[in-house]
Amino acid sequence: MKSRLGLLLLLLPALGLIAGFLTALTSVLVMSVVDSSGALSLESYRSFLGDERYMTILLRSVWIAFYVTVICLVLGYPIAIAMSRSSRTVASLITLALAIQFFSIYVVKMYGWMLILGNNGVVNRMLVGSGLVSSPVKLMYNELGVAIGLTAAALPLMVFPINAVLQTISLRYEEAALSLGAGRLRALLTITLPLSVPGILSGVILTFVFCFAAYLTPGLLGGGFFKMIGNVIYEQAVARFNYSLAAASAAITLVISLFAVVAVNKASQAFAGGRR
Amino acid sequence: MRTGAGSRDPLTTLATVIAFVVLFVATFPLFVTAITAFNATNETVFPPNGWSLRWFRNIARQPELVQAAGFSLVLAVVSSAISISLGVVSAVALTRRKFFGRDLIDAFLMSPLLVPQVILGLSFLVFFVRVGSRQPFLNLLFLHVVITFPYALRVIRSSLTRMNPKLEEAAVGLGASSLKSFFLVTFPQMRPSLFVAIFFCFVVSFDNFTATAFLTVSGATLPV
Amino acid sequence: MYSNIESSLDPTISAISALLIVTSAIFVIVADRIVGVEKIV
Repeated sequence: MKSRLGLLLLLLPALGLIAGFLTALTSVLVMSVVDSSGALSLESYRSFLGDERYMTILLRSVWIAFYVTVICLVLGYPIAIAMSRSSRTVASLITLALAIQFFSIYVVKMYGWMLILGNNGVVNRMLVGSGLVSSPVKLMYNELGVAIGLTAAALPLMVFPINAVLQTISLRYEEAALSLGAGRLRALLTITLPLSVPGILSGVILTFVFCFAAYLTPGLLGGGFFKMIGNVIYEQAVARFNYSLAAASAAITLVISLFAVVAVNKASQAFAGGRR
Repeated sequence: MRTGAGSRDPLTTLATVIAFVVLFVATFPLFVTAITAFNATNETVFPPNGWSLRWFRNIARQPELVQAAGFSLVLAVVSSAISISLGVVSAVALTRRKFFGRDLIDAFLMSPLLVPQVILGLSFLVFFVRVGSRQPFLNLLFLHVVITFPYALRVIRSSLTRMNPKLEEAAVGLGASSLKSFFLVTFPQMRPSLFVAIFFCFVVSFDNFTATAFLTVSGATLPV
Repeated sequence: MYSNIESSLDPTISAISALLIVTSAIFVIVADRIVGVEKIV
């Protein structure tokens, strides 16, 4: 057990497993750059990038992921503050509620939103019943429904990492600022917020990548009327057997996701450097 | 790090109010879903048109749903068991001592977490089509172990890192074999983290929709 | 479930969902009792 060989033997099964996965991933990337005869070809990229429909879907996926991330940050930061700072009972109540929402089955969560947002859903029955509108308002099978579903599904991904960092920040720093005459809001914004940036950035990465490559939420709440890039990949691969176009879409999705990860990491390094 | 002083702070009160409102909205669909199951008519409306339990009885009359639930359960149990065994073994190897390339191996093993689910699903679909593997259960098992293993490794490794290696060394010094000291000293300390790992792996596998949908016809696992 | 929901909203799916929601909630609460909820989030 102590020897290098022993360690390697222990790691071997896991290394084999992940190597298998990376082989599969590589085979998709390779598939995106070869044609049916196996020769090098960028045809699938050309047909993706040259098609206005796909480009619209790609750009809209980036855009919706971007603004849902911002909404999650705005809604999630106060939740993380409440989790880390209110009394023990309240904090664990909030954590428990968020955990139950997070660990509920994803399909069930989105089904619940369909019951809320549908034409015969809770909101529309209230609106029509109260006489505010005469016919149901379209709240799903469009961008609005997808954005609401993504926000609900991604919110815990934003809150948990911010909470984890806030738990480690001592309130004494803020108390020091308060005793020096700073207002509460100013103390929060100038002391705690900058210290929690690492948590914010990991929340941002998780949320953005999750939303950008979402498939289930636009599938149910978009209902085929509002598609995102994940739906394109699935349709091309599973319904049309057009593996090369699916592979090219997947490669583009992966590059944008990894670019977002790298960009946010660079931003966090620049931030850390700027504070030194 | 909670000092309690914050609870009297008006900003914390405001944040708590926002948290309650947002979490009420976020969990409300779950309440609505559960309540609509008691509808007397075949409409999924809230508030329900009268009450009945017939939709629960109706589950038993849909064998494909029951079958899918059973399949998902078996898949989740087997994949979690494999992931956790692999996780324990790998975490022990990664935390025993520093060695060249340890961080690299660590990043390598955690890499599935970086890849979006749709791409994982497509990769395995293309891979299994290439290889010609037509074993739905084994294919899904491979996918689910890849998806759940990083969670198991992360949880177990962080508990081993916090552990005091001196305890195990002391046991060895007192004459226990290293395998015996592992099971008598290290393993009991790992138990809470093993529980967390089981919880994560099981939920992640049972709940997985996106990647799984690429490998199965609709209805094979419960979410799909 | 997805394929059922895609085609129509049916109370049978609500019933399964209700069972799953209760099960997940129990899971989380049991986990909270055993190791504390802050360990699983």
